[in-house]
Amino acid sequence: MNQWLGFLKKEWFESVKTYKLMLVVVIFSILGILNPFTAKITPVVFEKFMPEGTFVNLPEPTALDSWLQFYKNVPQMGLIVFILLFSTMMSKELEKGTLLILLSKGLRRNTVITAKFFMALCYWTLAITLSFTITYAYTAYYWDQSQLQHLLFAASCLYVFGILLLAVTLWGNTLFATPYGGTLVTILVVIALFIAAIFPQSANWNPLELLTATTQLLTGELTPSDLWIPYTITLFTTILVVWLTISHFKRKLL
Amino acid sequence: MVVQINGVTKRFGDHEVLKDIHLDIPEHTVFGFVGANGSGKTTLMKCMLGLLPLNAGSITIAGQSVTFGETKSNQYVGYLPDVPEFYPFYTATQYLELCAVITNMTKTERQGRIHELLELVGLADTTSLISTYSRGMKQRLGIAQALLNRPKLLICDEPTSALDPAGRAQILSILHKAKEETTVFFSTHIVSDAEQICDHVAMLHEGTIIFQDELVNLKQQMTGQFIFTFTIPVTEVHERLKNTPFKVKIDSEQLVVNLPDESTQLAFMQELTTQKILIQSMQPKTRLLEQLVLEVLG
Repeated sequence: MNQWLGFLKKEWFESVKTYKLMLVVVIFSILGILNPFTAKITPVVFEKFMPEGTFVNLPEPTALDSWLQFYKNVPQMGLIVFILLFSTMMSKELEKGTLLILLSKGLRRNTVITAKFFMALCYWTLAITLSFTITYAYTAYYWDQSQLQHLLFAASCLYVFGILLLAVTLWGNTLFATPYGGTLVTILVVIALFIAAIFPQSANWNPLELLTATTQLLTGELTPSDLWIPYTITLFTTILVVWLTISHFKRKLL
Repeated sequence: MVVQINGVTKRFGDHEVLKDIHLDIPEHTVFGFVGANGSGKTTLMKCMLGLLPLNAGSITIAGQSVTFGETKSNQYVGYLPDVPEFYPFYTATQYLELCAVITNMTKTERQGRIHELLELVGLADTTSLISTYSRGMKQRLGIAQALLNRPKLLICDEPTSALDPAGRAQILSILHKAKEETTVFFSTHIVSDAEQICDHVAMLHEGTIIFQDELVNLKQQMTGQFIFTFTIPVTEVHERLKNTPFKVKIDSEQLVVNLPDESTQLAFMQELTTQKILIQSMQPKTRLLEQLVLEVLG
């Protein structure tokens, strides 16, 4: 346990020194502010840029619009930037050979993977919490949110999907040991999920459903029980991918 | 023996890098592992650390069998790679603290040991980040981390190859001192480095161990020749001895005599006494290890 905590401490120190902490805090705070701000300003912008004399009947923005921005911006911008930030978790160490000395000192290979994954998970938790809290507070300032359903569960869907992508990135990064390996594998997995989503039956199991169903969750068209299968599959797949990464790294020639 | 390597073979695809290697490393020695670049030295070291799987054979370190991907035997080993890479955002003390945690060293033991090692390698007064270190400083920090948990075996891969003469001398001196508390196994293609500090030497050539023995034996055994100087000119001695049964020749103002066994040596002494020739000095003729390596390689 000491070894695991010691390596985790190194991961934390490294992430601070390489500005990951600062970047995550800044980017996800901006996204948090941006969501209600965009919802609020959109009708004004529309009115301003329409040709003079044009009558546009835009409804007044609501809390739902703010949260729709959240579920658009965080997965599309936030998650992509996040994956890019953590896409060299393993390859940097493997390319430079910094792990060689520590492994020769008895550092267990599964410690390397689990500590790196846990640190990325902590950062993702921080990112989502930060963005969610700011969006919630800022939205509450302008609008009544009492009509929204399953707000926390919907956010947890995005959170769980992000964890799966993190695990896939770590696996790809360990497998190819190049900076772009992890990102490439993640892109391929997401493309595969989108292709699968073309078939309506895949909605029963596809992890991508966790991202696309958030609006229906907020409006109450869907309930958490409707998503339990993709939710569980996503969690189990994450565990499986982490296990695969450990197993692969144990056999990796260094 | 702290290390026993039995019949190790390692292939990369069709290329056989190590061929049936047998090597025993005695405790508290400095064991030089000589060989040209690409001869397989690093591969064998990585096999010893469990970083590469073997195709055949076995390796035992301090009685613990080495298994690929496992780290049990590494608790007895300190390793310095040829180009040691550290986390650039740490200072030397911070990096050694990380290593100490990984080797499960107790907190009370940690501080004293880290300070002691930084003193040994001459980095005690350096507080800057590792990113600012020179190659020589990195090598010295590499030795400090390798010695941290008082390993039974210190493996150093080409520790002097990229250093200037002063840096090389420093590293060799540290390795020589390290012998007091551990066994040093270091590879080099600079034969004179091995000659300076090693007790034992093995040579790897094209994946095969060509020779392994104590350095003293390697230097002496092969020749059986002795060098003499006398109180009278060497040419005069040569003249007086040329009709005796002893094979004598002049080399650099010294007399070289072939005396392969003790009885011949005694007989030669008697001959000198009979002829009343006084000896000024006598020493066995040794060959430089480099000469030996060149001879073996043909």
